[in-house]
Amino acid sequence: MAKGDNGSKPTLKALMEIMASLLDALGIVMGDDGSKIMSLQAGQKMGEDLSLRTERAENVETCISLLNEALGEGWHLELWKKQDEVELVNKEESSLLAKLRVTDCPVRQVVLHTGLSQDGALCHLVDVFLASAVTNIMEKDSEIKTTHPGSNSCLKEIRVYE
Amino acid sequence: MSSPVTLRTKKEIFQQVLTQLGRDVPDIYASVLVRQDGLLITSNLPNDVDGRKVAAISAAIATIGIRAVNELKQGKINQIIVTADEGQIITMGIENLFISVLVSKEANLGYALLELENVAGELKEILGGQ
Repeated sequence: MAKGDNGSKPTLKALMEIMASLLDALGIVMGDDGSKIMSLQAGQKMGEDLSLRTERAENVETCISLLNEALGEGWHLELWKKQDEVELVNKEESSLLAKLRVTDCPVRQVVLHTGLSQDGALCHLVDVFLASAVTNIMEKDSEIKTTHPGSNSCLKEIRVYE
Repeated sequence: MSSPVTLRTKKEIFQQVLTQLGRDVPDIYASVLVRQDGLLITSNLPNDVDGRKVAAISAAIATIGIRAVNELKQGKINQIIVTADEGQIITMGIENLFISVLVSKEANLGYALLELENVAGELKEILGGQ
C-alpha cells in the first residue's frame, strides 16, 4: 500500500455504503424498476468510457481478456462452462452465448456488506456496464444477465448478437 | 417455416411501427419504445433530440406513474398523460416495454389515444410472437 493510502479504504467503504443507501432510497420512491433506470444510464456510460481505452475484439474470449486488462484490480471475469459442455462460447441462431463467471467484483462486496439484494440496481449496473463495454469492444449488440448470484462469485450469461 | 426473428429484425419491425404511427397521426411527431429500465429499443425522434435521454425520462415517467397508482390503490394504470403549454406526452405500457409519444397541442387527443392503443396492440402481438 502506498504511503498516504491508510485512510482510503475506510473512506471508500463509507462512500460505497452511502451510494448503496441512495440507490435503496431511490428504490423506495420509484420502485425497483425506477432505480434500475438510473443504474442503466450509469452503466452504459461506464461501459462506453471503459471501451474508449480498449482495443476492439472480434471474439468473446479476446473481449473478456481485454476487459480484465482494462478493469484492473478489484475485478476478475472468466468464461465458464459446465463439465459436460464442449465449448465456452456457443453459437445460436442469431447470437453467441456464453457463461461468464465474475469472481472479483467491487459491487458484490458492497451488496453483501450492506445487505442489499443481489438482484437490485447495483448488480443491474454491473450487468449493464459489462454489456455496454462488450457492445462497444465487439461493435455488436450484447446483453448480460446474472443467472446465479453468489457470495464468492456470480454466474452471468452473456449474449452477443450477430 | 418462417425465418428466425433476430434482434435486428425485431428492432426494424418496431421502427416501422413507430414510423407508420407518425405517418398515420401527424400530430404524433415523436415516439420512443423503451424497456422498463430505460433502455432505448427504437425511436422516431427529431434529429436534435437525444433518444437515450428521452428513453430514460419516459421510463421514469412510467415507473413513477405505476408506483403512484399502486401505492394509492387506483387499480391498473392505462396511460400517463403529461400536459404542457406546447404539447402533451403520452406514455403507455406494452408487456415489459413502454411507448411514449409527443403530441402537438392542437391534436385531437382522443384520436391520438385510439391510434396509440392500436399500435400498442400491434406491438403486443409482435412481442407475443417472439
